[in-house]
Amino acid sequence: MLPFSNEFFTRKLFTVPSLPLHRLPCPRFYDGLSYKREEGEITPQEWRVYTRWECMTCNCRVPKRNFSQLWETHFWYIVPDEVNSTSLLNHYLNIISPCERRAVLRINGDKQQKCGLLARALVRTTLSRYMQCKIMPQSLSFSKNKYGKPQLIWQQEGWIPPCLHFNISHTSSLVACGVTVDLQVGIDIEDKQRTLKHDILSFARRFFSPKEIEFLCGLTDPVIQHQECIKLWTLKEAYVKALGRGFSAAPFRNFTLSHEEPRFAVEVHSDSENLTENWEFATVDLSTHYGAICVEKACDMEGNGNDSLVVKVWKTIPFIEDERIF
Amino acid sequence: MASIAGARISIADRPASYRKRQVFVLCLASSGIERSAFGDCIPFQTAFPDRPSDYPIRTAWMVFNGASGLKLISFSSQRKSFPSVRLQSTPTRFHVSCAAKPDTVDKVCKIVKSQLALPDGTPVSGNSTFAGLGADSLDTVEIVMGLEEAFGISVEEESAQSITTVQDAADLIEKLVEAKSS
Repeated sequence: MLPFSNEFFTRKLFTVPSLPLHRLPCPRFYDGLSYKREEGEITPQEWRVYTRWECMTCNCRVPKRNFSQLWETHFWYIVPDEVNSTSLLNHYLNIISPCERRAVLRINGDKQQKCGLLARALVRTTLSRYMQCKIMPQSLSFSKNKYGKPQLIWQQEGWIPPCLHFNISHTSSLVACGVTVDLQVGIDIEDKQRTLKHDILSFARRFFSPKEIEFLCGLTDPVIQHQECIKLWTLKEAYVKALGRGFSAAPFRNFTLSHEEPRFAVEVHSDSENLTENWEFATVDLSTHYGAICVEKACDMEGNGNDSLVVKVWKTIPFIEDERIF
Repeated sequence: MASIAGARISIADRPASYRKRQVFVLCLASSGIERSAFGDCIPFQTAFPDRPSDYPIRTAWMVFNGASGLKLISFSSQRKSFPSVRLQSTPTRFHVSCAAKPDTVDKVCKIVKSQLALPDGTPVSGNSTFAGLGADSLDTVEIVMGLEEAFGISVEEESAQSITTVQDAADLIEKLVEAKSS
């Protein structure tokens, strides 16, 4: 059980400052101008209908951007060991839904229970930041796709919120959440000190694609080999989470993650119906963890695919402090 | 002997007022029914696995009525919970048989404990979920690799999708071992 289950909590013990606003540039907006269609200007009521735009140039059904400068993803993380205030943890318990609260309290082990609570609180508070204080963390609702990927449900009338996509990942020592607008996202983090119980090459031969195995075999230094294996794992995991399919529905040997400086690219070998290649990758090198982010590529009007993803990283303790890292 | 084929009651033929905000849960009345009547595994799911606990339940009973076969009895209950049904966020499956041998479950528990480096005394049983024991994605695949090596089998990623507990893993292992030896 959580150590603070018997703690007496009153409103006076803990005041909640408003969440600082963070403007996440939305690909649809640029300097306040609204998105324009070829036929005419889209009115706010119509934005809700068009969550995706058909690309006019090549008829692919990927989101379209008029302005190529705005391609950002925001990465927020919490270090669980730094969050020990019982009143703060109680507050997080209060902002998650009753269903989530029951799920958290069912988790065995104090550390895992705290991680579970922080993951859910991080998602709600992070998404709420982008709602211009119109939607509180406790008002958000979530659903899951058929593979279990959580998604935001939009219930607001009157005000058109940005179409946010998010993904969470956690280890025992870090909880992270990635957020984008209009584009699917997947993230994964792993502890840098993480050791595999199996030999790295046996592990790679079991799960990775032939080209990746070849790449790892070519690394002679075992420390580098270990690092690259972990990084590759996080990239591949971020990809399958971005797809929304997860590891079981997108076996890792069916695609290759290659690193062509300075970018990563995915090459699909089989199951191309479900595995696609229009994804951009980025890595986040924190002091204790490797992180990988995978974001859907929006199709530019000019067909220009040279824009690289901008990643902004914050370390946060929701309601207490935010620190911009990258 | 009649057998229950499928366990979902269609509520489409009920009036609209019945259909709204109702959950039909199948309960198999335990008294008076021989276990041998259900020779096959009869999986059924609660109609709405994610149902919040404050939804009222109308319970339909499928009663095996001896020689005349199955009889549907509608039992209206405004109780908020029904004691014989576990309402969880994961779908509930009803298995009559096909559970793995205790030896297999023990072996799986041992491999899981070793992979996750759990302290001695941590309770690990058939009902323990991998996520609940603190396994992340990398731990899970290493556990699968360990099980493949220990049992001499090959687990496809697609079949690993449905494994959430130690018991699920043991059941799948026995199925694969049987398939391999036959």
